[in-house]
Amino acid sequence: MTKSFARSWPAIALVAGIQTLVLCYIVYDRVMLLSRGREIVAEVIPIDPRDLFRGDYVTLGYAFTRSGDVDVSEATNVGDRIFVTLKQDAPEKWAVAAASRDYPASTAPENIVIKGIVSQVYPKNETSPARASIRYGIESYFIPEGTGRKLEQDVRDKKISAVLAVGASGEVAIKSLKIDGKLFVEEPLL
Amino acid sequence: MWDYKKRVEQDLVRWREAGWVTPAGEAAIRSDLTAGARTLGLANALAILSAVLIGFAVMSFVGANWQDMPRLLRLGILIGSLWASYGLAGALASRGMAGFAHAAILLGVAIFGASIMLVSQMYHMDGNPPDAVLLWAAGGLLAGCVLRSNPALALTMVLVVIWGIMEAAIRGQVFWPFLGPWAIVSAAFYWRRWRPGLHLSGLALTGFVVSLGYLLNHGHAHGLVVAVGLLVVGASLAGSQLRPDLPGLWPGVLNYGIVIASAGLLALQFVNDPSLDVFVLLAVLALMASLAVIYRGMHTGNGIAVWLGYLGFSFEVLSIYVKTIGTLLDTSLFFLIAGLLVSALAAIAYRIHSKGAAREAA
Repeated sequence: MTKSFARSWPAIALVAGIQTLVLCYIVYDRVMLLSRGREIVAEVIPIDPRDLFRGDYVTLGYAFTRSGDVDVSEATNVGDRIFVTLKQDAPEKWAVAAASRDYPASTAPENIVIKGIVSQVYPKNETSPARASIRYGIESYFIPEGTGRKLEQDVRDKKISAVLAVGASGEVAIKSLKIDGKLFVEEPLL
Repeated sequence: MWDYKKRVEQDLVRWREAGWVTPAGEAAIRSDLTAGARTLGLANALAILSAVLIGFAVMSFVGANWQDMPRLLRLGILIGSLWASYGLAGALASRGMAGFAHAAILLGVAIFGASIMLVSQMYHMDGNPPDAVLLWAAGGLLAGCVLRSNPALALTMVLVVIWGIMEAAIRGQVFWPFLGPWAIVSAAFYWRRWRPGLHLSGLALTGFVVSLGYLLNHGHAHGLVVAVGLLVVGASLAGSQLRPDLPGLWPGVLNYGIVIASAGLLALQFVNDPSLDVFVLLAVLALMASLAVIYRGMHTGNGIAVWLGYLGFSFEVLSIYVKTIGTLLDTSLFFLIAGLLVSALAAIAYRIHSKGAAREAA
């Protein structure tokens, strides 16, 4: 930017190009996960029915994201990466089977492993070991502005579930929402 | 811009002495220089502000109803506006409008950040929000270094600070990795020889050190903060003796040390709730330190240090007053003693000040 800028066009293209590549990589990574990942359906528990639709996104709770539901080692800190193994109890009902700091070496084929970040740690006491709450990055579902209230009415007495895609190293993404078994919105990947 | 003005002013003296420029001509050049700087400075500032506003507009697009568009089109709009901003920057710079070009670069970096957020929203990604901010900062650093844009680097430092605060807030403890990106952006400021940027670094690091007092040792590490502040002050005093060839550096370092030490000292007295004798000792130390700072500032022509000393002195006195209201100490005797003490200190401060003023006048 110091001398003649006309000679700096390659520099500009370099910056814009790298930033474009970064954005495209994020999208590519997601599309790969959504299309290739193992698909599971998990029942959604409204965290607070009145606050289900905050502005233009839905806050989703799952049976396996109830607070303090994961046993962890005492050395676990908030912000740590953690791998949680889920087992299926009933259709659309998944529960925590185990948690570890590294991707587990072996799991039963019917189980799945998802990656999360420790959001809260409850120290151990006489009755229970140290426990933690985990965020998996699948707790928000963005919806078009202004459609929240209508959707809220639609789902008041219906069952909601989330269709999730789980990748080979534990990354997890929301594919879509189901209301009473019917897909809420189905968007093309691109 | 300011460099140019300074250089012309230096040259003007030379030209006048050589008899090339008449005094009238010199005055005309000077007035033109001031007027030009003012209007251009304002125009550049407005351009930067407009970039910030447009950036915010793009970001508030997050809430807009654009779900009807296919994802590919949305991505295309984002990347298109990214290239348009940087292209605009190139066009403006090639016409010699460097200030506007920097504003356009800033807009490009803002759109890059908005795009990260919009892509996350498009795919319902809700992972670790600080990661997105760090990625944004990396994009800002790239633009700042490759395009030599100081405003983009300044935005990068702001983003690094936001990232550090977010991580520390999530963890509830000191987030040491903050220092890595902080050092990288500071190095970029140094490489650009950009003083305002280095001050931004100083402010960011000052905030980090002060936060240690609240985060380490269960929130009671303010003594450590005072110690670090005093070390910085000591380094500045030693440095001004050992390396007097860096006159621009040491007063600035001194001021940051003063701010750090004062923040820690105030927290020791008013956040920690010490016993009475410790409190009195700390209060007297703080008042004396303020006077020492004012004296040093006067002595060395460091106006900001003088200002910091006055601020510290007033704040200390006010805090003592507020703290002692409604306690057992709230007796007329205490106020009498405190009042006499403070007025004596004020008298000393006045003496020092008038002495300094007299020296300056002489």
